[in-house]
Amino acid sequence: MSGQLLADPGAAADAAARARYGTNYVEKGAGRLSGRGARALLGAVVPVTLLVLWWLSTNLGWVPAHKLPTPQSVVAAAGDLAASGDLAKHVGISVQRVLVGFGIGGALGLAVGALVGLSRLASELLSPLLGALRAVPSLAWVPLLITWLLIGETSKVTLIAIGAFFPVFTTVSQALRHVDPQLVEAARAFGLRGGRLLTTVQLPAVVPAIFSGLRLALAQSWLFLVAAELIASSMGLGFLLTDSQNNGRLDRLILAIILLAIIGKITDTLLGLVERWAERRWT
Amino acid sequence: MSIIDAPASPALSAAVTATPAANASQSREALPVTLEAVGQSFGSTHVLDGIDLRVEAGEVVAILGPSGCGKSTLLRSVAGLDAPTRGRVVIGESAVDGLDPRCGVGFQEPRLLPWRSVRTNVELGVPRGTAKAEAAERVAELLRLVGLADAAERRPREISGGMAQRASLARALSRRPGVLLLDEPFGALDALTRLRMQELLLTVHAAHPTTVLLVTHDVDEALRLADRVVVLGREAGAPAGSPAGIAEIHTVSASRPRADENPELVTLRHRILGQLGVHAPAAA
Repeated sequence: MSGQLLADPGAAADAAARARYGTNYVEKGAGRLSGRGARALLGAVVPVTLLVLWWLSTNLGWVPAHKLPTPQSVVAAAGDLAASGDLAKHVGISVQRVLVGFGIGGALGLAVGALVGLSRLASELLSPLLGALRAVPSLAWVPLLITWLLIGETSKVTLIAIGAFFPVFTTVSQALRHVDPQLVEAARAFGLRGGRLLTTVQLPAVVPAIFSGLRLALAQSWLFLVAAELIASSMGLGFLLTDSQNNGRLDRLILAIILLAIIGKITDTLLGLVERWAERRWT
Repeated sequence: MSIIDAPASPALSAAVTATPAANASQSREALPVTLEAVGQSFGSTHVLDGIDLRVEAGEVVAILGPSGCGKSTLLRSVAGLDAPTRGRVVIGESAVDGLDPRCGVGFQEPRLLPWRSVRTNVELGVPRGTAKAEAAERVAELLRLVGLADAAERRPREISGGMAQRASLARALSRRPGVLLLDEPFGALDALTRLRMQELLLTVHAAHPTTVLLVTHDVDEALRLADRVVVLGREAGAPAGSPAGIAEIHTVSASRPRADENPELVTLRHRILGQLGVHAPAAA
């Protein structure tokens, strides 16, 4: 009976597969890997060209060394720092701060975002305040946090959590207001309410919004990390930046920037993989 | 002694006092529905007024009427989705107050959660507290009944509109509802699928003889399925904007399955269409 009622099972399966695998479905198979390889190659063209230009301009003396060190000296600086164990220490503590701050801020953003998105009372009570706090520039928090929490891990992690909180809070609270009311009504008619309604219908419905909030939050976390470490720290990539500037170590300064770019990109890519999994699971 | 003799029908005590554990093991009985002077207004718009209707336990009643006359509004007040402005609805022996756990609702749209499989969507209807094994067995049985056993693990976007409506019907039934409320459940389906669904509803009703209130705009559907057809409408000559009430209730006595050319149905169709303002040429 089911077979008869489905007008064209082939077409339906095709549509389903397309929905599941995205538009890449058509290219799936032999062409897909080479397609990905070609994209990666294309994406490398500009960075490699810049690297070559950097190498040429510094090694041929077009740019003086005190303005821009050679690529080799940056690599050598990385080697020195790695050998002394300082590189691992700086990278490790920065990654740790970002992950902890992002975790705390993201979780709080999800919780408060859910509350404000679902409860009119909570929204009217909290929205004006949170809107104003969101407008405070990140650096403005630093003196206060240091006064309250002293120069330690807590003040830095708190600053990063503040940075991660707002993107998640904003996207989640907005998205929850626009969950299909028909689905919610149907679920209520089947006895779901409160926490069960939230976890069964409302949160799954806003999974895409949660992840776009999380990705923004992760970028904010790195931004706030550097803000925290530039001003008050003795370790971390932000400290490496100021320390190198004070000592005139341009090679280390550029190394720190490159490391921030690479690690930031890696964490964003990892989160993107989780996002793709979640969207397949929840949509 | 007086406590033990408390006047409660078996149906009511099953509905009201059933603990989750007891609920799981027993099928809920069909419950009668009584509407007492029900009226519904939204702001200054008066949709319905003075609806008095008694639906017997296990009866199939179709509610017909021109679009916008308040058919769905009436059904929603029985489900407790909207509280009526005037009057009250009684299921079994207790009045409806808020979303009623004794009702199973099938909406015009399937309203399945897109991220869940057909099976887990149907599970959503099973009342909380039902034992896991019992719930799984009930869902499997219903999926077989509506012909979706082979599609149980598919997502809603992977099935046809007719299959989605069958899943929605199974979800409503998985509550073991005392009253099944269907709001134009086949309205969006193609003619052929609609005929199959009507047949399916009769099969389902034979297997689970619950009380059914079916809102439809399709006179033939009402005549094929219902024991009684309630026609809603405004009184002749009433000013525009006045609320609708029950225009007439027709009893359909022909045994099922009913052929459209059954003389009783032909006569009733002609009369109901006339009441709805469609004057079809009389059958020869």
